[in-house]
Amino acid sequence: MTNSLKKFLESRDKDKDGRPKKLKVLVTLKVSHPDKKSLKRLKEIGLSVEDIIDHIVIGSIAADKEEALKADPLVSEVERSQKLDFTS
Amino acid sequence: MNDKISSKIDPLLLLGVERADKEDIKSLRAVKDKLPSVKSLHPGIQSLQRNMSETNLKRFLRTDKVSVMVATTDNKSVAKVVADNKGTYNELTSNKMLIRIPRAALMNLAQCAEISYVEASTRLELHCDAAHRSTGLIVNNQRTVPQTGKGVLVGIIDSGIDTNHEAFKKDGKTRIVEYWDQIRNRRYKSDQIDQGKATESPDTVGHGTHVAGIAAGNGSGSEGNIYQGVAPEADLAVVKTTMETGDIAKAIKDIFKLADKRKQPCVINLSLGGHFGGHDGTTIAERAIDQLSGPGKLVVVSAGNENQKPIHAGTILPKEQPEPVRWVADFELRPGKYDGQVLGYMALQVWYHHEDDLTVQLRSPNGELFTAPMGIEKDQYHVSVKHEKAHYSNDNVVTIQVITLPLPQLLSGWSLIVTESTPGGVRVGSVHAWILSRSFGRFTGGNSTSCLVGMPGTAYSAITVASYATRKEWDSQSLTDLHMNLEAMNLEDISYFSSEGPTRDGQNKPEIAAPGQYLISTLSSAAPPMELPMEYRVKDINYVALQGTSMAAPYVTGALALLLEKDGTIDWSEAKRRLIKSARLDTHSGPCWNPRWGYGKIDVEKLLTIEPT
Repeated sequence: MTNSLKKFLESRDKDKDGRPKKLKVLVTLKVSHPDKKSLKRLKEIGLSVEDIIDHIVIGSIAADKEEALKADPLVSEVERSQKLDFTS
Repeated sequence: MNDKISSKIDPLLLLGVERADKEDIKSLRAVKDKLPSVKSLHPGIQSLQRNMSETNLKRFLRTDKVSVMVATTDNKSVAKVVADNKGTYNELTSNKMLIRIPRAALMNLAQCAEISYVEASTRLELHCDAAHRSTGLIVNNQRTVPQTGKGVLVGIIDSGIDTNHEAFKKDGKTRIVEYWDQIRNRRYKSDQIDQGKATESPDTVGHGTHVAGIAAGNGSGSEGNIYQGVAPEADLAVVKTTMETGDIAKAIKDIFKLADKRKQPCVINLSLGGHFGGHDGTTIAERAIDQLSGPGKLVVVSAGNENQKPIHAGTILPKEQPEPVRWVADFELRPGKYDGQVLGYMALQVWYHHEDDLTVQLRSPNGELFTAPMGIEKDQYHVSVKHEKAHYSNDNVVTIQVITLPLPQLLSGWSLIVTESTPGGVRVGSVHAWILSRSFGRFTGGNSTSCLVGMPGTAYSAITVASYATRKEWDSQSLTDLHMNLEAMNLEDISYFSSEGPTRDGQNKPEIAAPGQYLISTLSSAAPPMELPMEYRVKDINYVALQGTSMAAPYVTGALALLLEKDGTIDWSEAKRRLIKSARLDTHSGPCWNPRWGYGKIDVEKLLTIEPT
């Protein structure tokens, strides 16, 4: 693989200092209005919770922890926050 | 007509006289053509001469009474003539009167010896924005509805706002109750905005300021407030967003919470969109909108501008065929700069029904086939193909990513191949593929113009808005194009860019069409000419002409603010019902619902007369 392609692939999920990039994610839980215990669990996985809308949690997590979050029994879905465009 | 008498009448009024005499559009058009060259006329008449379409002429014909200013030598004698002709009057000075009189009686007025000239009063000049005339919000230069958005909170989640623009102030104080800059993580309350602190968070794009002006600007800074928004007395809550769906969901929650605190109904505008997810309202971000919407809490979203953009391919596979069914969609990559490197990058998703048993493959330009799950790294490109079951709908989604060196032989010649995996595997057969951003590239085969409404416009609760054209001319600030005239545009017709529905699961979206091409609205002083070129900036004032479903959505947002002023408990389903019931159909829209127009054109006047269920 050429260097430029390799460099791009390696840098995709890392920040400037080479650490895993923080991803903003929307997560649905199997419980609505998560209690302290659930929030503690999410924190242990590495999710820093920013907001809660019923059973939807919005937060950020290091790219290398995303799979662990998806696999947790408390979690239904994980959706990466997507950048939208203006419609003009 | 006697020339001596007609010379006493303002040419603008002369059109009306001809109408009263002949009731004939063709002869009225002939009179219009006889008027002096446009540039020597009063601006109001210039506007009339340029913009008078057949529709406008018909509207002009329907006007029963006109307001005129007259210069008199004897007010009393004139008053008698006015009374005899079933008119009313106000004496302005000893030799000037404001008269309202049936148009057909104008000649009688002109024949009065005590009158030296009959002039169109300023209210007769076509000084409202073309959009408002189209939607019935303004007829004869007067608002047709008493509502102004007072007591309603209008939320704008966008590129920010020019907090100094006069259109967002009342009596010198800001109408913005809160401004949250998500990028710098700063919040400004109204008193801080008045102290000038929010100028640290300028709208350097100009999109949000324009959008806010359409929904709720008061027109300040434009002559006679002609570029007033739909709900000019609504309060505003503005979020300068990062554009990420997670932050947008947070902003919606935040604005609705503010509305609760202020005990106000609220409508939020989202003039933005994207093409990831199933296009069926089931992304988490869209379900968050459904969760947050409710009585007195509405969300309006632009349909998108992808109508002529080949970012969607789709088909319905035939069932029960003797041979396995196969469908191919070709695509090409557009080179771009990613993390500082020039590469070809493509991300697309293929969606098909959970009952179908299909195989999705990617074929490279040199004929290699890739099937999920797969991650391949070659010398010159990287490919990943991933198959998943969408959690909420249980439908199948295959996500494909291609990263290549920007070599011509690797940018084109890629294909998606969908085949029936087992005999009888096609049960529903609907297959859709979306390129996640139009900057990545395009489909060159298998294109489909349907299902182009972006997310979050596909959210169930969202009121999704298409765009139609109401303006094609303005005087600009450009040194080379003083008068912009986009002659090819068909006024009142659907905008060429307005994304077509329905959603992948068959929801009727967009729901409504509103003026979005071109709308003149507030110009952010921080937006550089690179963002908003001079030819789109309106001469002498801080207003700019822009187009997009981005402009159509805030028109509906403003209209719903008027509706919420009338009844603050309306929820999204009732709001949709009233929009649908009041929608206007014409020769352009044809029968509705249809995927371009939704249920038709918004009719603001009628919207506010629809009774609750």
